[in-house]
Amino acid sequence: MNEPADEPLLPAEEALRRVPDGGVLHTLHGGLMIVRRLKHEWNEQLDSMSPAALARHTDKVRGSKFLASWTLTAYVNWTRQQVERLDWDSSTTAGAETVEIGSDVGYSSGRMVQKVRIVISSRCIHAYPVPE
Amino acid sequence: MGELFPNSQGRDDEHLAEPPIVDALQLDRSHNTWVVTLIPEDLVSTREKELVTIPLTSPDGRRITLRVRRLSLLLGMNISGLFHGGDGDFVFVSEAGERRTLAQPQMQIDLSIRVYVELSDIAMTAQIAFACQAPAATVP
Repeated sequence: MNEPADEPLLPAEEALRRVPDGGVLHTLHGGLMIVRRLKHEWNEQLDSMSPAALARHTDKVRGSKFLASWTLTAYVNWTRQQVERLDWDSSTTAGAETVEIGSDVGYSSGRMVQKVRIVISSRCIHAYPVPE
Repeated sequence: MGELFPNSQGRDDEHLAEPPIVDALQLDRSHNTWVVTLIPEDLVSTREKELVTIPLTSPDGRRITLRVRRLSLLLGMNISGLFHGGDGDFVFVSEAGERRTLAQPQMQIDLSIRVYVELSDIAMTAQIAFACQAPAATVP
């Protein structure tokens, strides 16, 4: 996806990984910000968990998790495309949309899911896997 | 909400925090609202998160403003937003870009509990506001 003229280039994955939890991964044209939410990212501990443990670690309190294939670069690019499609800008009121991906995206309460919910709140945007 | 511990290194099979939990709290100055994403109790919603906007001038909005001011005093920073990091972890941010984490080791447990009391009230206020704004569902 090409960068809009007034939007900075997306940093490399390594640089995105240094962004702290809740920090801004990327600022879109118009000032909307894609923020990092660590609790929805895959971590190596999840690889070896039993189904019961995975269910606990991906529940609503600990947060659903994107698959490891959803790198931060992929996450930012996907989110950026959705913001464009939804025509969200800095004047958009708080809201959320659920998007059917059509392939596995992550775990929610131990279940593999294929949908992502994207949320805009006060110019900040984040997304996470959901079952419904 | 559940019992508070200073970090999330507790037992693997139990949560350190229980819904309702504030997932994110932000002040939307352009719309004069608090925007809260919350992790609701299952009896309110089975979704992972719900979104609620609360006008600053409403009773709930004033209540949240007061709680945020108390959090700012407790943490010694002018809080402009906060994020849930999973389980009992929270990240507080200021407009100046300062950050503080509830799970950080230097935060004393008594301070953690006082912070958690404020967070708990914000979460419950937001949950009730959400329940009042949402279309009527089943009545027990």
